Formats: sequence, structure tokens, C-alpha cells
Amino acid sequence: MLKATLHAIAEVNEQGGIDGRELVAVHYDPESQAGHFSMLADRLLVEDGVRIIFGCYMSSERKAVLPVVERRNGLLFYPAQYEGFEYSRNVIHTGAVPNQNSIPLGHYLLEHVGRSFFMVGSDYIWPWESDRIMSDMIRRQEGRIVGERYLKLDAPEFEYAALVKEIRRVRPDGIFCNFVGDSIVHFYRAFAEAGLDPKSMPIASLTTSEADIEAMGAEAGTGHITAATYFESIDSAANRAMLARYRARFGEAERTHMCWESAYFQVHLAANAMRLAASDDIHRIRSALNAFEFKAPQGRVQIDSENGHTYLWSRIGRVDEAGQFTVLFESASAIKPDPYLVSFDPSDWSSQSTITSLNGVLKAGKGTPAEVE
Amino acid sequence: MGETKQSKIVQFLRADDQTDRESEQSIKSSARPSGPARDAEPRKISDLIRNVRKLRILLLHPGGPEGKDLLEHLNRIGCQVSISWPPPDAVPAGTDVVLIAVREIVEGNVPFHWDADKPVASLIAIVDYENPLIVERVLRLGAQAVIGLPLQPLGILANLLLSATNFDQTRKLRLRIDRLASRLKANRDVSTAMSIIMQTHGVAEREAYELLRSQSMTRRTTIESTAAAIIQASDVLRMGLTHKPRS
Repeated sequence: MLKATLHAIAEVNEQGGIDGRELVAVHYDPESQAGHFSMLADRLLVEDGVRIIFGCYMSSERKAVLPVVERRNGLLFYPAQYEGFEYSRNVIHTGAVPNQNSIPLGHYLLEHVGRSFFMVGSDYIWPWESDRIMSDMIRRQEGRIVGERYLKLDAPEFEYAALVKEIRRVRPDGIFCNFVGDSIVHFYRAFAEAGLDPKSMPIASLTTSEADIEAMGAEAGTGHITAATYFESIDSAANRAMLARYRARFGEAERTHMCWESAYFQVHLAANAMRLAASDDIHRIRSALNAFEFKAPQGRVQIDSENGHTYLWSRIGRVDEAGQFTVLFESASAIKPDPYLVSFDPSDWSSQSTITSLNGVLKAGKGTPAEVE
Repeated sequence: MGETKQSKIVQFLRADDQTDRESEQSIKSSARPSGPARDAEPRKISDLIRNVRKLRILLLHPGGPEGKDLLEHLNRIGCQVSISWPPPDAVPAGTDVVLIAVREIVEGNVPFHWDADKPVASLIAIVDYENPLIVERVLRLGAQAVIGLPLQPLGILANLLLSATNFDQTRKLRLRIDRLASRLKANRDVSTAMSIIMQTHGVAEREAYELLRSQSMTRRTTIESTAAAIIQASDVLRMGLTHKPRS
């Protein structure tokens, strides 16, 4: 996500910056420690003259930065999907909340994969909450949850093998997987090593991305499903052009993925807002953010003025032999974010916008994805 | 006899009514400090608020900058605060308010022994996440108030007092419910015992009550206790037979 941010900043400057003024990136690496995040965010805002911070990945990191941006009047753009139930005047969320990823995935799984599911993930709040809302949806639509297990982030290899053994014994139609980081690789490899078949028992994830497939090897990844706002394989003019420019700058081997793309477009959103506001006052920038759409690689996106989250596209993809995602489903439009959704009830009027977006475009499994415009 | 049998029993019941009404008043008056007085009268502040610095607080938080800020503010208010992490098996006697970091006990699977049905102190939940799993835990713990993070000092004093008041009110209501429940049982027992006496000895209601009352005096016990004994004896005497014993 660092490269995505640096690339977007360079593009903004190449376009003339903000009325001729260059964006300067100040970067620190908090090494995944929450305490470092707070301290470095504070340094950025107080000593380095920064107003806008792009970053954080895990919720604990964002929570560590939250009091700092609120106290020091900064603006954090947070690019990752998370569990929702948050709002701050000093944070903009450009990653998906559950109604934009869990709900569309649940809908797809019930329609096309089966009725019984085993839930697995890393042992902390985001996976638990994702599983909660997915389980709730599955049960309401007469599906079954046949197992639920969480592993600590540092769990040893044998625990993944044991987990796969348990799953095999239970024989669900599909596995809903919310592992993060290296755990993803361990789990998918354990699945492959056990000889299980993605065609009859696919792993469905909200996190497994092109980068994880590369790390685990295409053999372990092929055939499994991910729900994401963006795939590198999106066959649109906007995406192709962006990939060309990015690779020209950082090299042909560079991969992109859902968090990459949020990190990328959020810089452009910030820059456009600064130009529109003609100011670096964060409240003026925030107001200006509500005033325009941006043509991101995933499609047109817009900040929702009601909650500081983003209208995002939802896609379901399946990994092919080349380690790319074949897009199976695309939402009809960008989905309005609903960060305070507790339980998805299709009969509830407040869910109508999510439901409408689910009437998306089903792609033939093997065909090329259509243009996204 | 000046009083009828009816009024004797009713008197028995009415005596408790009086105690009830008094306790109800006491619950009401402790709940609300006196409302705005007329200009001429001084504004009255309840004892609870006046004695806020006497509140003994137990802060259950792992530390870090937020924990430190919270501790500083509690000290600023002037309360006596002790800190502990992880939560102790038992809350020290004399604790008035417990503050608990909810996400840490949920996510860290840290044991926190708290009987929400019989709390030993008032409980304030400290929350830095508001998703349903965390809120569920707050509700199940029976917290009386909530403090959100990032910390906003404004609101902590009000939440301390609100939680203490809510706890006190709940405790009094609970006591009242317990009393009413035993009263209800006692009334039923008296009623049942009287039926048994009337059947067994072939007497009318007034005599039955008199017998019950004099038996209780002889045995130096309460009417309810004698009634319970009569019911138990009658059950045993039934010997598992279905017909009623002949008087």
C-alpha cells in the first residue's frame, strides 16, 4: 500500500500538484506496533507539518491513530476493509464495511455454492464480526453453520492441518475464511496438502488477494473465491491504464490488489478535495470530498457525506491457474456504505440499497469480465 | 370484637404495604436529587454528588496512554482509585465503582468474574469498539454506564455518579422485589394453611385465622412460618394417597 500511495502522489504532482504546489510524502514504518502508530502519527502532525495521513491496516492500528488525529486535527484516510461501527470527523474510510463485502459474498455463496458453511479466521474482532454477520445472513436464509474456529495470528503450522482435518470430517459446502497475513498462506496450503478440492468445497474470503496467492503459490490458490472491491484482472480501460503507469514507475512484476487500489484512489480523492477546497484545512477538505465522484480503477467511487465511508463496488472472483481472479460477479452499482448495520434483513427498508446493488452482473465462469464503466 | 376477621387479615397485609410504600419513597428520593427549587430556596444537591470523592474506584485497564489519561482524570475529580490488570478474582471489599476495559477482556479472552445478577459494585464499561460483539458483552455484564475511547474527560464525572445511582436504585429495587416475592409466598401460604385448618377442624375462616395466630404465638414463631409448617405436614400426612384426610 506504500507503493500505491507513493505512485498516486507522484501522479498528482505530475498533474501539476495542488495548484502548482507539490505533495510531499513523509513516511514512517510503525512495524505493526500500535504504540508506534500513535507516536509516529503524532510526530507527523506536530513536527512534520502534515495534515493528512494515509495508512493503517488492522483496526487496532487505526484505533491507535484515532485519538491522535482527533486531538491534533488531522485527517486519516484508512484504505482497508474493517468491521464497521465507527465514525470520526477525522477519519475517511475507503475500504469496505460488511454490507459491501460480507453481504454480497453471503448472497453469492447461498446462490451458487451451497447451504452449509464452516467459518474460520484469525482470532480477533474483525474476523469474529465478519463471521457473525455472515452467519446471521446464512441462518436467516435457511443455511447452516456447521463449524466455527479461530486461530491466533502466530498459531503453529500443525494447528492449520488439524483445522483442515476437522473441516474435512464435517464436509461443509464451503468455507468462509477470514484469516489475515501469513495465516492465509498456511491455511490454503494445509487445505491443498490435505487433498481437498476447491470445486466441491471452496474457500471464500474477504481478504485473500493477489499478493497472498503469489505467496502461497497458484497451486494452493486455484479455484478458491474472494469477495473484493477490486481485482487486478478487472478488464477496464481505467484499470489497464493505471496498471501500465504503475508498472512503468515501479516495474513490470508489480501486483495490485484491493487494499492497493483503495490506497491509490484515496490519495487522488484527497488531492481533488484540496484543489476544490483551495485549502489544507481538514474540515474544508472533508466538505469538498462530498462534492465529486472519482473514476477509480474499480469504477466510479464517492465519499458518503453521511458517514465518511465510500460507495464501493463489490465483486466476487475465483483464482485461476495464473494466480489471477476471474470475475464471477459484479454489483450493478457502487454500494452505499452502511457501517452501523447490525443484521442484514432483506425485508428491512434500510437494506434496500444493498439489495439493489446485489442485482449485479453474473459472469460466465470462464468468460472474460465485461468492461466496467 | 371491634374488628372483623377480614380487617385482621387485611391489617396483616396492610402493615407490609406501609413498609412497601416507605421503601418505594426511599427509592424515588434517592433516584432524583431535588428538582429546581424556587429562587428563594437554596438548590439542594444529593448526598451522593456531594460525596463523590468518597467513591472508591477500581480501574481495570491494561494501561497505555488511554488508561493513564483515565486514571489522571479520576484523580483530578478526587476519587480514590486503585488499578489492576488483569482483573482480580474478587473485587476488594468496599469498592463502589468498577471500570472495566471491555474489548481487552473479549479479545484477549481475559477472565473477568462478574455476577451481573448480584453485582457487588456499580460497573462502568470502557469501550473503544462499538460493534455488536462488544456491545453484547457490555449488556451482559449489566454495566450501568459507558465511557467511550478516545477519552473525553467531559462526561466521566456524570457517568460515575449515574452508575452509582443506577446501581443503588437497582439494589433497592432488587431488595424490594425479594421482599415482595416473600410476602407473596407468605400470603399464599397463609391462605393455603387456613384452607387446611378449615377442612381439618371444620371451622370458618375467622376461627381458622385465630387458631393459626395463637399457634404461632405458642411456638414463638411467625404466622408465615407456622403456615409453611402446616402445609408441609399436610403434604406428608397425605401419605401419597389421593383422597383428602378426613377431618
